Amino acid sequence: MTSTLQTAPSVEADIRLAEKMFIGGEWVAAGSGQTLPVYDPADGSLVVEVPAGDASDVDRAVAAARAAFAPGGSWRSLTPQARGRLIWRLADLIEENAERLAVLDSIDSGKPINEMRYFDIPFSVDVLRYYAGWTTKITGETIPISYPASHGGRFHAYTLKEPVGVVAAIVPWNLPLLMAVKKLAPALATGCTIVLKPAEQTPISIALLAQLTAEAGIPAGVVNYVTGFGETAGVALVEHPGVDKVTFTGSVPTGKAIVRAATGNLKRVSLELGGKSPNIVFADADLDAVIAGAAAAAFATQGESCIAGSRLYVQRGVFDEVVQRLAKHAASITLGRGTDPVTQMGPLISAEHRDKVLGYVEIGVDEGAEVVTGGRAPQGEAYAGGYFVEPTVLVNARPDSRIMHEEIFGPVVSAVPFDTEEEVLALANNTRFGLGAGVWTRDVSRAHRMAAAIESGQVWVNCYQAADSALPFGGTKESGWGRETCRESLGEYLETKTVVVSL
Amino acid sequence: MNAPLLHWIGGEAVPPTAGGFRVGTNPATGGAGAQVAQGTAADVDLAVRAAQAAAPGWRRIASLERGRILAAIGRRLLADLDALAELESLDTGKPLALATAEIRGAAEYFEFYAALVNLPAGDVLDIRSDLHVYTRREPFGVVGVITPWNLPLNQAARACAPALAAGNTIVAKPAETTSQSTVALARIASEEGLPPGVLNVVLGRGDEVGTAIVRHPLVRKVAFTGSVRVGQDIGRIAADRILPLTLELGGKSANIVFADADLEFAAAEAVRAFTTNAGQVCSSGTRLLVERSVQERFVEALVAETRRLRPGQDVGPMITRGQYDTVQRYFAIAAEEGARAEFGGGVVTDPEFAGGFYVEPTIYSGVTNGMRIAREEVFGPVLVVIPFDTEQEAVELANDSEFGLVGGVFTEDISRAFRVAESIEAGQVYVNSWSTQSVQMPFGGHKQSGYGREKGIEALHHYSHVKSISVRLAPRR
Repeated sequence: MTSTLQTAPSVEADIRLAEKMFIGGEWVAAGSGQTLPVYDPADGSLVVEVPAGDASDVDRAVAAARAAFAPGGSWRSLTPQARGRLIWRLADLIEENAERLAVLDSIDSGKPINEMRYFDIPFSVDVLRYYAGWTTKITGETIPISYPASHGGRFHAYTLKEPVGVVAAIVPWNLPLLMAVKKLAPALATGCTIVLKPAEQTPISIALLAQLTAEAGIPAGVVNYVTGFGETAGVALVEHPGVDKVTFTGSVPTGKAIVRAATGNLKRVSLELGGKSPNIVFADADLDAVIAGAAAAAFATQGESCIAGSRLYVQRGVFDEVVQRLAKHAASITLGRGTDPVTQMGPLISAEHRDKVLGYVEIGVDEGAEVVTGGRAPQGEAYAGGYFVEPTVLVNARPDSRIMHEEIFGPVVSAVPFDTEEEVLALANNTRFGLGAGVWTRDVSRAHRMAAAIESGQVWVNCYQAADSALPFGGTKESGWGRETCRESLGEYLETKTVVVSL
Repeated sequence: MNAPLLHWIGGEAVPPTAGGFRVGTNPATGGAGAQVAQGTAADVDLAVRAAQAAAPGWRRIASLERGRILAAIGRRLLADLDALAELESLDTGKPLALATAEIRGAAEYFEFYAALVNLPAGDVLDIRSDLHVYTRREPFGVVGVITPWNLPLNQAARACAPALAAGNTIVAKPAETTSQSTVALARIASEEGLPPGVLNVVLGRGDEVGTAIVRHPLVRKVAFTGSVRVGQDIGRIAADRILPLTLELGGKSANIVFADADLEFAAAEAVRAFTTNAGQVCSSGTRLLVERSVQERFVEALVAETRRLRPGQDVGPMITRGQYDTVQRYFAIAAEEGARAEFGGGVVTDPEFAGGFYVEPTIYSGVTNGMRIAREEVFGPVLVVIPFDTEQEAVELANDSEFGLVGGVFTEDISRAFRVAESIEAGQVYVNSWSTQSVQMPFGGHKQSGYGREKGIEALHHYSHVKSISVRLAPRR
């Protein structure tokens, strides 16, 4: 099954863009000449060979970003309003090139093209426009102070907000374009310069993004794009003394390694890591909405989502009904190649990752869980060579089972019954993670009580995954540091300077 | 000339229901200008009802979408820059370059407030664990926007952009002599996707149309820019209705020059301060307070700088015959009071400008702060120079005024700069420059210069009111 989208000449050209890196406004190969292969997860075929950048390529990219950040340089001398216009222009260009970008992400990440069209792309555009608006609103404050002074005690005290400097953005493979934009937009809005490093599996949409930044008129060196393996290019970036901040979205072990590697020059680090998010259904909830919401929470983006609602807690009175209806919904999901518009769920990112996800199902079963539906790689010609896993619903997992504590990052949800609000709160908070949570109930008091008591960065009541460029997004506990999108995120890219003038 | 100018109501051009038309005057030649609809209270009622009907939809529209439309209006103003500048120049007589800058400024308002629609709507307040308390900002509904003739499109944009961003709908009334650009704005807004009825324009006289807007029971807020006298009239009507107002009125703003300042630069700025737009700006710097030790030198520098200004190119005409007459009346008053004209003091007699309403940029010395020429707003290119000896005296002179719109201080002493800037009773103060304004800086007056603020995030607060909501949460069973 070959999608016509993949063979269109413009898509070929867009894919070939990723054969080079974008450094200081130039498209360049890796200094070593080495490349690494990018595969189509729907059939395992080769998509493109991209540069396998290493420490020397990272040096060039950081040097370009530093030069662009220098005082009086092309970037620092722009007014906030001018910077905002460029970011807005980039948003326009993403909108104008929506379908090209959608196809690219769908090809190398495997995710359904309709998720790209209706979520990733419009959200990326919103995020850029949102931050375009902030450029002129990043303000210090004038502060009345009470400091005792010898000469009359009169002061003019104020704060200045200054960009942190060169930002290294390390982008994951599950939502490549959107995650890159969520890091690029605040960096540009605050006046930082940036080196973007996509995951080695999913560089191609970000190559086009880099090209669009140039087309938008963002000066050379402000946005740089390097490809390569995490252990070479990624490590070089994180350790680089010319990088002032790292923003990373990905796994907890890599997040911890980044924190350690960043100590050399005490880089600022923000981390958006994994989750094991509880989705809590009370018996008084609207069950039609619950089924749709719980399925989307578990299976959107093949479950390769940091906020996947992978622990489904259902009040006992409606447990059997919810599990049965959810399983029926799961079994009806159409699997296929991401670029095929009828596809509702695509393949996982790699063979290795597919094996890991199926391994977790085995672990769960070994530890007492039962498979209600799914749990296997689907069979048939359409799936040959691809890394597909069926949407999977498990029950009877023990509270201490590994599948209730470790992030599977695949289309696997465990349903568990509970009796009281107090009990489910204890279950929900019994995790190292704290990213998302869902609460389904018609009782407004309970909704707000639960929202306050759940230990996580965001709580959705009678909905799941609702995201907006104005809403803070990020985790507590091992789900990470800092917040993305929202006003607060600007602080992650700014330093505050306090100025006190004695009058 | 062209087709007569009509009201813009409900997204289309609408002729006056009862009133007729008036023919304007071209201020640069004294000849016939545009033909403009003369509205009545019936036209205002039509427009207010259109605005009221459009209000629920505009209030509910997604904020990013609202911002997108406002941004599109801003881009369009820039795209149509030349045509709009020409229109504005024709109505006002001002030099084309000045009109162009004014329209760029109008576009900036739309850009700025387009982006501001993303501001948080309120805060969540932590009061007690059994309370969920939050605040939200809500639009007033129909807002009346009454604007003057000195910077027509710019002032209309200054009020309309934040009022629209905050979710209000508008009935705007431009000055009867300078109506064309505001109607153009409304038409452009409609073409760029602003829903019908969200921005309406009714043309005509202030005492007819303006009064009807302020009196209309469905109008929930009025923003007025203009004279103190009309501001007071509006305030009296508003008092009966408990109608919230933003009033941006006149000024007699002080510019304080200390002996340690960069005098050459200060002189250039001081001349720009009183001659920009031929002094027909509420924020003109019309009272120059100069340290006595450098007074003589400084006045010489002012005169030299002013002598370089060319009528028509650097200093346009008075926009109306009435204003032309007013300025001449003040020339007579100053002479009677014993002020000495260091430069100017009369009308431009060069035959090239015959028929136009041109006056000479004028600098008076020998003035005390008690004279009418130092206390009343002339609204023309007229500067008075008053000497002082100490910092304290300078501040007292600056604040001895019924007005308090803006102020300036020139000094190389940074402590003094901050001390004086903070002591001046005015809404905006410039240090070592004049009128370094931006859409980001809140603008508005103290005392008789008005109340409320335009521009900046602050303006949004004057086009919306805050509601706080407290929800009691029942205890856990």
